Amino acid sequence: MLLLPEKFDQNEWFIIISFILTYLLILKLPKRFPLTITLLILFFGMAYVQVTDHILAGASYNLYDINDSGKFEWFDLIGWFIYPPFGYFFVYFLDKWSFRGLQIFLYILGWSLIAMLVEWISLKFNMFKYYHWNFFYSYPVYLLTLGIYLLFYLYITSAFKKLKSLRKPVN
Amino acid sequence: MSFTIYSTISLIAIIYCTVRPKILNTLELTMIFLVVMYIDSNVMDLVMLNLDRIVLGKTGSDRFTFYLSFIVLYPLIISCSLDHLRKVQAKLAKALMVLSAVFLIVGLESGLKYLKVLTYKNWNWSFDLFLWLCIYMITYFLHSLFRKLVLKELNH
Repeated sequence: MLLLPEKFDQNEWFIIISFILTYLLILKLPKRFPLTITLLILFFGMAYVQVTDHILAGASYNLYDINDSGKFEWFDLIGWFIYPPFGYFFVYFLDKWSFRGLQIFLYILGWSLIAMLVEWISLKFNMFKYYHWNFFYSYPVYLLTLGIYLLFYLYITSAFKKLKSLRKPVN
Repeated sequence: MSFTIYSTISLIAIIYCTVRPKILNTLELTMIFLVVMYIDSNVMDLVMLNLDRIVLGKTGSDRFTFYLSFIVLYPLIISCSLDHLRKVQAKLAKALMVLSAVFLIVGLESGLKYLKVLTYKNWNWSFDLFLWLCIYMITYFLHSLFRKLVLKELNH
């Protein structure tokens, strides 16, 4: 069913180390959100990345391959777990530093550059093989993704606050 | 043709699910939606790429119809069904509700096959039935855990 790597080398190690580091960092950072919100942010990241890769790298467009082959491997599945923390850190620091207006615009531009840097590192570790894709195409995709992330975060936090206020006893 | 039919069905489903009175809250419905989308996408990758049992059509209309159904329509059907499930008490009615949602999805999948959006190779509706029954059960179980957490945090 799911394939094992053709060769256990740098891309697999990159995924394992990134996985451990990112989740350790989530656990180490002081808690900012209720667990419900945290889980939804992580779920959203996983579903978003999975669906995007399914469309772009899957059977229909095949713009790039993830890991050793164009097939679905165990390390593709594990690899999808390393993206959600990225989205979590994005909203975590946005909330922590309480950015407003133009600051949010600059924050998204900055995070898109960080995302490009991470992608460049993952390319060096052979996590992706591009066919009809170019490294620079990723920048607008990250701008769009972070914009969607921000909207999703605002949506679920406002829904949580609204639901919580409905349950508060009226004095 | 497939695009017209499935986008119309999706729009009707979206409007119906938005306006109908719901028992589950927004956070739970979002969670169900994301889980179904994630599992379905993984399973489709497995079936299409590794097992080569389903082939997606080459036209833009075929692709759009397929993505519309698995990103919007099926998660919507399962979220609505799980919400309905909370309204009924009788076990038989619950079982019928689960089966009707699963059969509805299987019917829509067969529609995709009939309209030549998907081509089945050593795959048939009974595999779809089993697959969607599993996806439904996994989502039901994960939602039950998530619901406990949401209600605990909202009441805290």
